Amino acid sequence: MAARVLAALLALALAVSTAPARASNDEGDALYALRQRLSDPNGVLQSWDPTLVNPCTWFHVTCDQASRVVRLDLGNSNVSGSIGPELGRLVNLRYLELYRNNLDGEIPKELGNLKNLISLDLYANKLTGGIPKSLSKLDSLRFMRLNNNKLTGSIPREFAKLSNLKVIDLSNNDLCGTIPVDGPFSTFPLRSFENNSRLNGPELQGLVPYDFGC
Amino acid sequence: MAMIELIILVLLRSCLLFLHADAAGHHGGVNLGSQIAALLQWKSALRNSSPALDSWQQGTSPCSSNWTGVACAAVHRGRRVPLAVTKISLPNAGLDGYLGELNFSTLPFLTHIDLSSNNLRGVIPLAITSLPELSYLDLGANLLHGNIPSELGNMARLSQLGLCCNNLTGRIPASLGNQTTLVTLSTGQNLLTGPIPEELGNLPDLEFLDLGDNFLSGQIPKSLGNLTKLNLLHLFSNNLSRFIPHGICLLPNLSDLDLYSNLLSGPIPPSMGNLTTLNHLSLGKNQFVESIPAEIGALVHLHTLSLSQNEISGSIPATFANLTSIRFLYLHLNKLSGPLPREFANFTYLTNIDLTNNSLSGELPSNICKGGNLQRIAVSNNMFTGPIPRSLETCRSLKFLFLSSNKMTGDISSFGPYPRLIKAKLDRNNFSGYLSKTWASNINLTFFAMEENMIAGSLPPEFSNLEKLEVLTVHANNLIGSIPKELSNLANLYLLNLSHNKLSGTIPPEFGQLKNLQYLDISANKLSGPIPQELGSCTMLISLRINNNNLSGPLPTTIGSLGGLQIVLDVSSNKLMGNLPAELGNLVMLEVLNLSHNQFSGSIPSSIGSMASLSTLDVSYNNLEGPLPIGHLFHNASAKWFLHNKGLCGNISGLPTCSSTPIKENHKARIHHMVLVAFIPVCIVIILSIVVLVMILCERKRPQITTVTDTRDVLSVWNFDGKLVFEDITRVTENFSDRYIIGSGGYGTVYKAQLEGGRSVAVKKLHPTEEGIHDEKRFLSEIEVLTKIRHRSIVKLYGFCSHPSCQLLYFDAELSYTSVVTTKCDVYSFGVVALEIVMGRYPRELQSIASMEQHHEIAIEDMLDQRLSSPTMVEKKEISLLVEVAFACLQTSPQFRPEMQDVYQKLAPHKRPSVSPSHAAHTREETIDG
Repeated sequence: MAARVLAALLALALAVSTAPARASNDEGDALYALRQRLSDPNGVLQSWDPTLVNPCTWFHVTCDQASRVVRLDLGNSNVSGSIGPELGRLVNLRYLELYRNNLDGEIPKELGNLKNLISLDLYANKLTGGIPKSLSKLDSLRFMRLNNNKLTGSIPREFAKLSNLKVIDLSNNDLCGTIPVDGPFSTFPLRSFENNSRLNGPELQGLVPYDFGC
Repeated sequence: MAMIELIILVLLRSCLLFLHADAAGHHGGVNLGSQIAALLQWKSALRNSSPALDSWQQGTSPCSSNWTGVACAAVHRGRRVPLAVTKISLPNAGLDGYLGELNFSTLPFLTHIDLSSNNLRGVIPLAITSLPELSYLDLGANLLHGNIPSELGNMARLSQLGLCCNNLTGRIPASLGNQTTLVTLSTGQNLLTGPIPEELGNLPDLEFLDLGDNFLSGQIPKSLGNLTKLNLLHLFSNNLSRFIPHGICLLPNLSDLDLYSNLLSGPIPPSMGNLTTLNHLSLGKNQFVESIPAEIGALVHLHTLSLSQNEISGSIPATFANLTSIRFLYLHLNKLSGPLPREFANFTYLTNIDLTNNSLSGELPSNICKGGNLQRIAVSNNMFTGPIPRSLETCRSLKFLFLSSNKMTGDISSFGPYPRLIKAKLDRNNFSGYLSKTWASNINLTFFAMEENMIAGSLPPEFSNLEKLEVLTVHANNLIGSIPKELSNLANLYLLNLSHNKLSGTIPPEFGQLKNLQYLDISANKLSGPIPQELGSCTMLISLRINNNNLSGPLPTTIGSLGGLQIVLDVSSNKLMGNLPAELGNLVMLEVLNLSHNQFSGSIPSSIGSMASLSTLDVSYNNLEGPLPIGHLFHNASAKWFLHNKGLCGNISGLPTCSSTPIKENHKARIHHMVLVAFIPVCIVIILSIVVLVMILCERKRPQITTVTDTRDVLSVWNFDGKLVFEDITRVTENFSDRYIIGSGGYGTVYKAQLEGGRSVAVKKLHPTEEGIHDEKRFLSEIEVLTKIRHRSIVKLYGFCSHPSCQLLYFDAELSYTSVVTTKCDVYSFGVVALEIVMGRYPRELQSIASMEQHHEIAIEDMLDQRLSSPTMVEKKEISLLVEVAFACLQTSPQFRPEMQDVYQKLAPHKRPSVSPSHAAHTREETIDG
């Protein structure tokens, strides 16, 4: 009997220790998941306490009046690690500023869920893989700066649907294929695409395959 | 205890019985050898052999050689008592591999398996469910997926089942209700769906039930009220709905009930007051309504009470005074009103209280920090009045103090010190007094918000001691004096808002040391003097507001170093003067720029046109003059951005159009590094662009000239050295006399203009056209494309003039081979470009061959760009055709060259049908005017 009680207590201890933080919220959880992924030598994420009601008092996180996370400002923060799919849960986010860090891994396709996103700044990192097509769902997006990474593959042709896109910078990557010419792409300067050694120039609808050279 | 003794006994005996082990193993169906083999085989199948398993060695026995995590025991087989492996206990051992690789059927004597907190993959092996002796199974915190096998409900002895924190899917098997020996059942933190099986109520010995953090739905089964031994019930973070069953409120041994984050509704049952054994009660984040039953006050052993994030109304019952063990009290985000009960403060152990976002009123209890344990008090967004309670003023245990947005009053001058305080938010109250130096001794402070109060006095320089400070907001108070330059020592500061005070003096140049500063707002003060150029060193800034002060002098050029500025740069309503720095153009991420209400003079730098992200610009109320820069922003600009200046002009309504004198544009030639690979489409696009441009020009609807004096509406010249002006051209061509015509095309006449200094250019004067509405924006963007093209076979465009009476294009003429320009020159150019595309280099030698009809002798393969892979037969055929056409275009004598119409017809059928109609139309136009 004594052994049984002891075993039950051990099990209890185990379960409690692995139980998730209870008093939490979705956006805070998502940000905290990001924190756990990142190495943060400068301690810029130190204030990210998952037990708080919401992340609005966390540093570099900005909320609106309704305590919804609208900005994440971690540009130039010397953080490294990967961006996880959790960020796709910050559905109220308008500005995602992660530029000039040491982020690696791929751009999660879940970022396509950020319907309110105005600015996606991931430039000057070490991101690899393709640019997710899902980003073409970001109807509010005005600024997309993914330059100076190690991104490969073609520019999703669906980006031509991003009617609010005002600035795009995909330069200094390893992209291939051709550049869309429709929609907002009719006004983007070529310098937004330069230094992609395998990017062949503007799309020629019908004359060559869109992803020529990929 | 008995088990541990047994194990020790076994270990002792195993030393003696080592020699007999193998022999014994073969008797009575107990084969230790095969058990050892199974374990070793699993070890070898694991991804990277964990150091924990170093002791698992071939030729040794787990029963005699102390294999880590393996224990043996004597098992009874008739009269024999052989040794067998009975226990595998390797929690958190770094194991990485498939659990199914362990051959459980060879280990029938296992009673205890603990492999929790490893990286075990795959599904839960069915073989485990056939272990007749197994009573303890913990596979928690691994990477297991798949369903929970229903066979786990048919085991003879299983009492502890831990499957938490995996990726298990499917439903909780109802058969678990048959496993009446279960004492512990944990399937929390998985991806389980469906309802909680009613059958779980059939487990008479169950003490511990954790199903939290899944996707379980439906009601909480009433049958759980039968679990009279239940000590812990975790159902948090699911989608459970409806009411709390009455039976749960009668469980006599329940100490931990967590229903946080579900869809439970209705009032909180008063019968919960029966759960007097409760230590932990969380009903937070549900849809509970009505008031808190007074009976909750009977739960005198509660350490944690969370009713947060519901729709609970009414006041906090006075019976809460009985909760003398309470440590964590969360009532935030409800609709609670009224004052706190007077007896509220007898909470000796109170550590963390959160009443945020209610409508509570009255004063905070004076003894709130009575026990000296209070670490966090959050009462923001209520209607609390009165002063900060005395006990809180000196509450040295305090780490978080959140009093924002209440109606609290009183003098805050003598607060603290709070040696452990990390965050303090006292903003949006009616606090008075001044910021004492004592605050500066709270050296752990990272967040200090005191905005929108009535704080007077000055900002103590001692605040610079707060080395960890990251946010300092004291705006909208009555602060006077200067900004202490010592604040520049706050190396971690990223947000500083001192706006809307009465601060005077200058902006300390030392602020340039604030390397982490992202937000700086010192607007609406009485600051004077210049904007220090050192501010340009704050390169992390994303928002900078220094408007509504008395700042004078120029806007420093170092402002251009703030490339991260994004949200706003507002320097409006100061006394700034001088020219606007061209470096503003470096702020490519900036969205809002306000320079209004100053004394800036000169013209708006053309570089502002290259601020790609800019959406709002205000330069009104200055002394600016000259034309607006060119750029997308100015196409949709609002006239009010430019009002009240000395003489701004531009092509937007509400602003005068620019005068006749063409203004030189310092348009920097942008060199594009985009490599134009020898690649057919790219060059065809360029050619198409020219054609599109010409077509647009031809479609332009000519506006009516209503006044005689307004003879030149728009005149713009790009990319020239400044001497080329409309007048010069008019003069040297004697108002476009026929004498200077060197050619004529479908859309315009080309004149030769010999400029001063001997330089000659070709001027193409476009014919007036009647039809079509001209799209000025498109015209400009197409011109912009043309100015950027650099190709030896495409004539360089120097500039253009757009005017109701004429439209001019200025070309370099120096590259022409003859002085007579005809449409056939364009045909020739097409030939050269086409060949260059095919060959990947300039077709110098082939041009001469072309005229001699010798090109048929040259193999296509020899001509092709060697950097590309060899073409297929079909492609080769198409390339041959293109080459053929190209050579035809290169005939020396223009009259032998084909018309572009012919060229088009030859090449057109080879297009794919997906060509958009507009492109097809453009291509057709190409044939008319080359």
